Amino acid sequence: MSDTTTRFATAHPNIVTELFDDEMVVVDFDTGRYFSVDVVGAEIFNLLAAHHTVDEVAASLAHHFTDDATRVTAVVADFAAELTAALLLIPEATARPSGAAAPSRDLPSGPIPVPTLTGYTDMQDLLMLDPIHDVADTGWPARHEPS
Amino acid sequence: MTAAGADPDTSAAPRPPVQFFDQAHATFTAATAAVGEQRVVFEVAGKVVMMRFAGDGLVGRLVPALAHLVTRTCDPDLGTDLEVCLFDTATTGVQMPPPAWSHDAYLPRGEIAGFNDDRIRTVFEPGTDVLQLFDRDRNLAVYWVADPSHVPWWESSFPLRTILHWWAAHTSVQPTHSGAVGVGGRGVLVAGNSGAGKSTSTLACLMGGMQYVGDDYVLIDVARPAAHSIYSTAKLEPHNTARFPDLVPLISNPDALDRQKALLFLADHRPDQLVRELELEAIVLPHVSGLPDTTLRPASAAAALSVLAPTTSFHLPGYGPKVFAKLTRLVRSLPCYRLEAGTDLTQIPERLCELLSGQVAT
Repeated sequence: MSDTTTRFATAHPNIVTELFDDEMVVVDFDTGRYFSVDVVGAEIFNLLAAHHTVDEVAASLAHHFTDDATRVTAVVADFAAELTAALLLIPEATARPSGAAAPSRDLPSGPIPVPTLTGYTDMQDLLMLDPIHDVADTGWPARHEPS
Repeated sequence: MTAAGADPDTSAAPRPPVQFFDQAHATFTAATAAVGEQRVVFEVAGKVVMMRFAGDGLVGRLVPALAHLVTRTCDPDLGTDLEVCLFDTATTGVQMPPPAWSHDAYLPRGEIAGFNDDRIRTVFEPGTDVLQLFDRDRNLAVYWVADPSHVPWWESSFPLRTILHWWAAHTSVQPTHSGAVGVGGRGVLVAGNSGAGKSTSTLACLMGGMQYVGDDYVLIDVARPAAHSIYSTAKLEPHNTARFPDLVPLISNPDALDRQKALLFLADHRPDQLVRELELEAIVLPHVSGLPDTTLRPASAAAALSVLAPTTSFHLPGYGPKVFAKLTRLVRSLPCYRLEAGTDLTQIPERLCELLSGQVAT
């Protein structure tokens, strides 16, 4: 398991989220990717983005689920790694949370479900940079594509 | 604000975005002096937009899609909410000054590094070769292209969408990648990614006699909510035109279907069905089912936002988080449905009319 005492922050300000009853929508305006996160994943994401560590998030969630603390910590740590790999969160050692970690809503009881992060890249082509290779005498990019 | 990395061989010092805007606007003025000016005024969402063309080189490319909104008056003293100055070099003989930025300042979607701030927006998108600028303080825009033939066909189907997007950024109004159809002034927003069946569904509703606001871009006022017509165009994939045999004679580009979508200008052919505005009652998310029958079932607001927000905000440069916030407000204010669109196209307007008459459970 990776370090569970690391603090995180959202990777950059152009990542926005909206939490609904059944899922959270995440859009990264810098990369053109967007995501759907399930309810438990949304709670973990938001607590990590609020600078809580994996240990703190796991402790706040543990009493909702029937698993032992080790299992809950492992689930949270794995999801933190997934969010980091997706470039949605970054380690931020100097960040400090403004309060104690606490879920924002009632969570399903029973074993902790494995949180899901579903990513979509169908819009990424719109943010592909077409390098300027040639410049005309006018100073404007030379035309390549006919209309 | 200074230009990002100006060319070392440019005689002028780096110019801030407002100075380049003023230079571009002055160049437009010179173009009008050279070839005269033509004005087209249209109303959208209760606002007045004036298009000032230097010469007529761009009129035929950019006005037809907006023709249904054009007002008959053109009083030079008319107050306007947005003024757009349009010209090209080929027909006016007036050249736009060189860019005030280096060639490495071009960002995705043509945004220019260092030339987009709270007041000025600037894009030059390679591929369209159209320069667009907007000054928020003066509600003034400039649109330039070297040659009218460089304006791509798709730009003719939704002209000025970027400028309208910038203009509306700080209001409750948003150009949205969606369609809208209705009955008796009340309608549904039809939202879907490419290939989901958005255009097929809206055109099926047109053929079914419903009121029509648009199929690709409409102007949403999220505060009401309502959909306002911007463009009278409709686009179909060429392979899908056979499903609408009555529309085939209306296709404006029949010789270009090997490389373009079929483009229809509905104001010329269905003026009675083309309405300026619909009060929105619901959002529908079409999905091609492959089955004969069309059905509706509830969908989540999250699903609607996942469809609306990326496709709208990634097509339109700038203000991504603002677009997201407006569309979030919209999806939270309306019931959402998944439209399982069947192969019997007549059932699509039937289901949507049932929805609007309250026959479908929310």
